[in-house]
Amino acid sequence: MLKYAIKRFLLIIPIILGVTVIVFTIINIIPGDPAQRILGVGASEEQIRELNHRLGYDRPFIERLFNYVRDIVTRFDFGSSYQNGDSVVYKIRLNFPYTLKLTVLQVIAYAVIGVTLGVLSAVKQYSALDNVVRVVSVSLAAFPGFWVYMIAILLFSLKLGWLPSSGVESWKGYVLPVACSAILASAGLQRLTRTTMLESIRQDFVRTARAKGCAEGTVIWRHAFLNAMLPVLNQVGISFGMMLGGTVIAETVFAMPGLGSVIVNAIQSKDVPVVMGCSIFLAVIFCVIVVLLDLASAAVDPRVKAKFVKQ
Amino acid sequence: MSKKEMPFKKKSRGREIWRLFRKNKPAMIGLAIFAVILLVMIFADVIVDESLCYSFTGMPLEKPSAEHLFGTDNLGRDLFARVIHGSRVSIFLGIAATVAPLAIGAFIGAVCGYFGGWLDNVIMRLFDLIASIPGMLLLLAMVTAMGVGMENLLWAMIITGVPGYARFVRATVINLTDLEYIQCARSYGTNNFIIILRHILPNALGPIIIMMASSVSGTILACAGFSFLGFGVQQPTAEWGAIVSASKPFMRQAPYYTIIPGLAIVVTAMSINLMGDGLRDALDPRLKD
Repeated sequence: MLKYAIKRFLLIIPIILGVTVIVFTIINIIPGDPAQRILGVGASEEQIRELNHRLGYDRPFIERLFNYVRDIVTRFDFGSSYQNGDSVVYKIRLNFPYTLKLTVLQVIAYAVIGVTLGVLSAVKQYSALDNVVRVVSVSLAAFPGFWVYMIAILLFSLKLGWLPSSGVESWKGYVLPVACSAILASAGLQRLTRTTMLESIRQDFVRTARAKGCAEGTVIWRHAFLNAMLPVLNQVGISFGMMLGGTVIAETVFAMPGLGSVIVNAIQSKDVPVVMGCSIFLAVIFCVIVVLLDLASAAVDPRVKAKFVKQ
Repeated sequence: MSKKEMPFKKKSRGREIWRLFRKNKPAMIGLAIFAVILLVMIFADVIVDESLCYSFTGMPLEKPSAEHLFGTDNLGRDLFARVIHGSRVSIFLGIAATVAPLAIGAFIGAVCGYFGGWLDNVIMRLFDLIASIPGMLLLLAMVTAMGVGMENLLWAMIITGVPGYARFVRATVINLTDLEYIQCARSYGTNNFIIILRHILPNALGPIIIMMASSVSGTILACAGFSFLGFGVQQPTAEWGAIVSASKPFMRQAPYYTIIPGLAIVVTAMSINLMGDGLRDALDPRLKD
């Protein structure tokens, strides 16, 4: 198991490198003059050449890519902002905690809502509850997140005045973004949980558990659910990574600090190093989460472990 | 020998699918709503003149009335005209940003799955890498590189969408490639590309159509979201996400300004989802839950 874990972790390195190269390439390979884009149409040729030289854009693509990766690896340096010269690492350190906090709260709410409703509708298949949950969860897929956030502000902040419409000064600021995104996202998890639970409930060991006289709650949660949990756990982990990159819209609507807002501002002011650094940072975290998930699955489920670990 | 009558009437596949689809009430409702939306899209110019989208015909933020059915926006433009004509941009963008990457992805996936070998390996490892970056971040990176705008958004959606679709089609094609009738066609010496086009892709069409139907509404939402952030369709073009975005500072005075274009997105996406589910059940009854 330890060998497998080490091997899996070593495999992250090429993935991280690959992700860095891809994001760097996407941002840099498109034809066009970066200095021209930063300075706008009115700039003189002299100014453009001068800025291109200062930012290193007059050197070949491969050399720039190599320098960029080298700086990250040797000095953990993602470059610095065009706008004010702040280092990107500093921006990440300042803003990432907000994004992380929002995402963790979202994922907890998402997992609790999705799993509970999924299990309930599987246990009571075709009941009124199941039907209502199914209709709601299918409908939710049609609601755009940004609009739901705004309707929630309209209702709970402007009409009822219960919750603030922006900011993170108190815990109240987190209620609307967390609740809305968790409810919207939980539809998918609910369906997944329902399907895997329906399969699990029909297994022989569940009948055995009932036959030996287990309480119904124990049968459902300890026997059926624990065995159906693996795909659900995986889904929650993947969603965690996705939500980390997807807080952009919530942060914009609710005017919250965080990496999403930083990226949006940087795109608006064409601040390439900031976008690049933040995206690479989030993408790498996502990859690490995926690997950790693989390891967790192997640790808790002997069936998965057997696939990877040779005896 | 006289020609023998077939004991059963052979049903065409299309008719069989339609028969199953018609029995599905939610799917038919979805189809009806979407048909209406399509008609509105096609006859948008007949319903209300496009120039009204861009001319300042009223006072800013007028409430809905007989003159301005949906009220006016913060610049005094008729919101009804903007929402009706916005359908063209929003729905076109959603469909184009699904169909284009799916077509490209299907081709790449089919070729990779059929031939295998080192090219398949290289392309699939590259696609694995791209797929390991959350889609939202990839889109943001593309927008940074190419600049904002509708055309660039479409390109970004294509480039970020292709890897997923290609992997999906490749998996389907690999399962088909081992079947006897493909081996048979090969043994006749049929050209490989003819095998892919005539024998493999038609049989992989079911899953591909299901994939498409279930992606369109998500893509419409994603495109609207990008326009909402200000990175997609630009003002003054009428597009639903962009209209919602513009309404943000005026939510208190004019809630209808936010609500109406958003409802248009929800109704469209929901009708497409209902149709997609019906189509999935009709094409592949095993997937029904």
